[in-house]
Parts: sequence; C-alpha cells; structure tokens
Amino acid sequence: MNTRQILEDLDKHAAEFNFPVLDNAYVEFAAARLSAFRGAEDWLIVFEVLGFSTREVGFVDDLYAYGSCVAKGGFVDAEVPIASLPQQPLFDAETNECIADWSRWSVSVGGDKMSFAPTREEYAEAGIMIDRGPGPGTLTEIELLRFLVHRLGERRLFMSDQALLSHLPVCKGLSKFVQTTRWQHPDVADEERPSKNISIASLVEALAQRDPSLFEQGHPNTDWKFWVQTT
Amino acid sequence: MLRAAKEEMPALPVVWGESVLPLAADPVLLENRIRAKSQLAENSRQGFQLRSSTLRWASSEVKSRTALGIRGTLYDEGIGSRCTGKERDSESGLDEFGARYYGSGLGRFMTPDWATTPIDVPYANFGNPQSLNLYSYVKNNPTTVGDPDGHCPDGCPTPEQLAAGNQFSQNVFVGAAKGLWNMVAGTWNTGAELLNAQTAASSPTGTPFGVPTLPMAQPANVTQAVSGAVAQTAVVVGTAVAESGAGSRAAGESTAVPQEIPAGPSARPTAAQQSAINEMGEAHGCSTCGATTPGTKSGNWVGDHQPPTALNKDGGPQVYKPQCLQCSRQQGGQVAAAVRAAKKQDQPQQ
Repeated sequence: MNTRQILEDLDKHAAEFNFPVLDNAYVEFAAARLSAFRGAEDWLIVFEVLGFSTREVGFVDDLYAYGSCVAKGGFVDAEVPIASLPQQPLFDAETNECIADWSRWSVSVGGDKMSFAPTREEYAEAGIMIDRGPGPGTLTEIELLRFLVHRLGERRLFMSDQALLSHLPVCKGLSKFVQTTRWQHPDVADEERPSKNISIASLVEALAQRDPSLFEQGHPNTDWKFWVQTT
Repeated sequence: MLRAAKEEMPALPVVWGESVLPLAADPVLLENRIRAKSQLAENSRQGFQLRSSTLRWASSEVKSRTALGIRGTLYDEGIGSRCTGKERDSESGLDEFGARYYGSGLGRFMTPDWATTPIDVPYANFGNPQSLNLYSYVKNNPTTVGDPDGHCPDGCPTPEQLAAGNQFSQNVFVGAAKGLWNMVAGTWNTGAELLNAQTAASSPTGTPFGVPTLPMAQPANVTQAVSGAVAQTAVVVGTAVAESGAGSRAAGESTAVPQEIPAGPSARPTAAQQSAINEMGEAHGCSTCGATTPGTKSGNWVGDHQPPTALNKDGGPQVYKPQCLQCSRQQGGQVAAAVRAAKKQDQPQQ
C-alpha cells in the first residue's frame, strides 16, 4: 500500500464520517491533538478530539486511529477527560441540565479534584465571553472545558502516550513520530478530503519516508474558534 | 489475533519511493469492508439528501430514486434480490403479490388489505397488534414469514373463518386490540405517530379507522432494521451503517420494549428518559447498526434524537432511539455536513 492508497483509504473513512469532524453536530469542540507513531514495520496515526458530547451529556476525548496495526480504522473509543464531582455536581441529577456557576466550580481531572473561581477577564483571556451574572446554570459545559484547556493546557486533558496506545493493543514497538495540537485539519463536513489536505498528506509522506521533518502544519485550524458548532 | 493474521500474510507491494508503509491488518477484509461501507455511506448520503426537507435535490438522478428510497436502491443496485419471491414491476419498482402491490423501499403495501367478505379488519389476528396495520408486510417479520397472496402471512385466519365466528366477540376483540394498540402506541410512539403524520403525504401508513400504525415495529434483523429506518424516510438521518448481522438482535426478541420514546421537553434526556433509552438499547440494540453494546464508558446508550435537533428547524416533535457511540459520532458528522450544505443552499447567490 503506497501513500496514495493510504490517503484514499483515509478519504473513504472521511466520506463515511468515520474521521474526526471537528464541528461534529453532537460533540462541541474544545481541542484536538494529532499523534503519529512509527515502528520497524507498523505505523499509526491517532487523532484525539476533546469536547462535550451533547448526546451522552458528558466530556469526551474521542480517539480515532488509522494504521497498519489497526484492523478497522476510524473511531476507536471515547475517554472521559474530566468528570463532575458528586459533592459539587455540574449536572442536575434529574434533568441532566448543566448547573455550573461560572464564578465557582469544581471538577475532577484525571482523578484530581480541582476548584476554580475565574473572573470574567480570565474567561475572556480564554476567548469565552461571560455577559451574565453568576449563579447556577450560568456556565455551559463547553465553556467550562474550553476554559480548562486554556488554563491547564492540552497535555493535562489529553491521554498520555501509554494510555493512548493501550486502546490499540495490537500496535507494539512504536515510537512517537509526530505530536501536535496545531495542524490544518480537513474540513470533513465540507467534503474536504484528507488526501487534499496538506497536513494529512504530508504526515503520511513523512511516515513513509520515516522523516518527521516532512510533516507540514499548513494553516493550523485546530483552535475551537475556527469551528462553528452546528447543533 | 490480528498480529497473527498479519504475520501469515504474504509480503505486500508496499512502496512509496524507497520507503514502505505496510497495509492494515487484513487487506482483503479491509478492502471488502471499505467497499461495502463506502456503498452504504453513499446510499446513506443520497438517502439523506432525499429525506432532508431542508436540502434541495442534488441531481435528477438522485431524485429519480425517491420512489424506492435507500432500501430500494440497495436492492436494485446491490443485492438485486426479490426476497419476496414476487415479480417486480420494472417501472414502478413494486412487487406484485396478487391482491396488492408491495413497495420494498417502504417496507409496506401500497394499499390497505382487503377482503371479499365484509369485515372490520381483514386478515387480522386480534392477539397480534401488528396485524392491525393494514399496510404492513408479514407483520413486520419478513425473515420468518412469507405472504403468498398479498393478503395474509402464512397461517393467519381467513376473513371467512373470522366472519363465521361470533361477530360480537370479534368486535370486542377489535375494541380491545385497538385499546391495547392505542395504549402502547400512544404511550411510547407518540413521537413516531406525529412524525409519520409529517410524512403522511408520501408514506401511506394510516389505517381506515384511525388506529395508529406501528411505524417501526420490531425490526427482526439488520435488513429489516434498515428497511424500517427507511420507512421513516423524512426523519431519519444517517442510518445505513448496518454492516452485518453479527451482534444484532434475533428475530422476535424483546417485543414488549418500545423502539423509541418521545423526546423533550429539553434538548437532553432526563434521567428517566435515559433509563428508558438504556432499556430500549438493551432490548433492541443500536437502532442504526444493531450493535448490542453502547460503547460508552458510562454504559449508557446514546439517545438518538430523531429528527436531529439541528435539522428540526420547525421544532417538530422528536423521539429518542438507542444508538451506539460509533454510530452517534458518524451521524454527528453527517448532520454537520447536512447543516453546512443547507446553509450553503440558503446563502443568496452572488
């Protein structure tokens, strides 16, 4: 399978929407990360998409994987990057509506309890406009998550390499090849295909050549502000 | 296991310049899957275009398929099967059963059942509410039951046999059956009825005496699940993901649990609604692909809003169906694309 065939394969996955759609109608987008791994034989491309799933009513880190050690490329799993605390829940137990107060809230990140009392200015620094008074139900889940991404950085919220690879147990002996949160992601919902995308095409080429320097970021569009939520 | 399979594979022509990128684990399987899924995805996209009232027709070629919808397309282009065993009219695409014509794309007869003997509900088995739908085909159980003449699945009583019985008793049975039907359908399928009402112009799902239909009654297998999904042609998005029978529910299972529940009043399911969604998922599997596990960390089935909120511009009634996580993600992409396409259509021409 040459790079053209691999890109065609990725195109097919994209055509089936079994490829990250950063403005997925059911997952409000906060951040994404692209990782590539290479071994003596195997290669692997993994996308993580951090967001809030409106249908599951929960925070998710969606994992999409493609590679020689992945029998069925595409969506693999969704991890839970942050969770609500039982003592200070973010969601109403009956209605599942968000009851977070923008002025004070707590979450569990990787098992660690974290409390925040941000100001409007701090939200603004994260690109989030808070134009209402404090109180229960004044902060949406995606605002909370985007603030966390800004405050903690993606590293804290995405999976460790070990955790990531644990979802793909067949992939062994791989070394990290490329990892970035800034690249030009194809606009799948607008029918842009990975083969026509400079970042994806160059990554496949880089993997084939075993030369990470061939990877091109293009015009990075993985900031959440680039994607208009369609729900 | 995949590793073992891979090691047994012959060397592949994997060349990019001087470099090599090996193929994914099982190339034959992968290619077959890609081909099959690609076709399904294509059908799904075309079907979506047909079904979304917010989108205009993509082409006259697509438009010409409206009579059959996705299932008809699959049958005509892919399987080529006349699984009913009846002759198909090449012009209309309908199967000729003698008494009536059957539309495989809709999974319904085109006209209500009838009988030479005057009777309230021809060929009905009052112990089986499925038989009260005068448009349904073999009580929505095509894998195990045949229909020889367009009137009646194998073994059902003839109108003559019923007419010979006690008319009073029969009326009592009819009333009871109607009551049961209304209770079940009214309680669980209110949304579906309303949605069917939206599509009544194109889908003859009503009955002469006002008994609500069971629009998506108990898909018996994946094929029927796809068929059933297509029956809701105007409201279901992104259904043609079904890949195989593996993992799907067996015929006749879990008939007591509804296929869908009304959604609302808010955009997300309440705890009680989530509980009901989980119950439906456990009973019937994913409404899109038939998967028997939800794939979520929480163990909850995803509540599939139909029609999707983003496409429900009129704010019409919605229902919840259980869906697995994989299908939900793919459908979310489809909806995003549909919304984007609709926005493009709505933009004034420059």
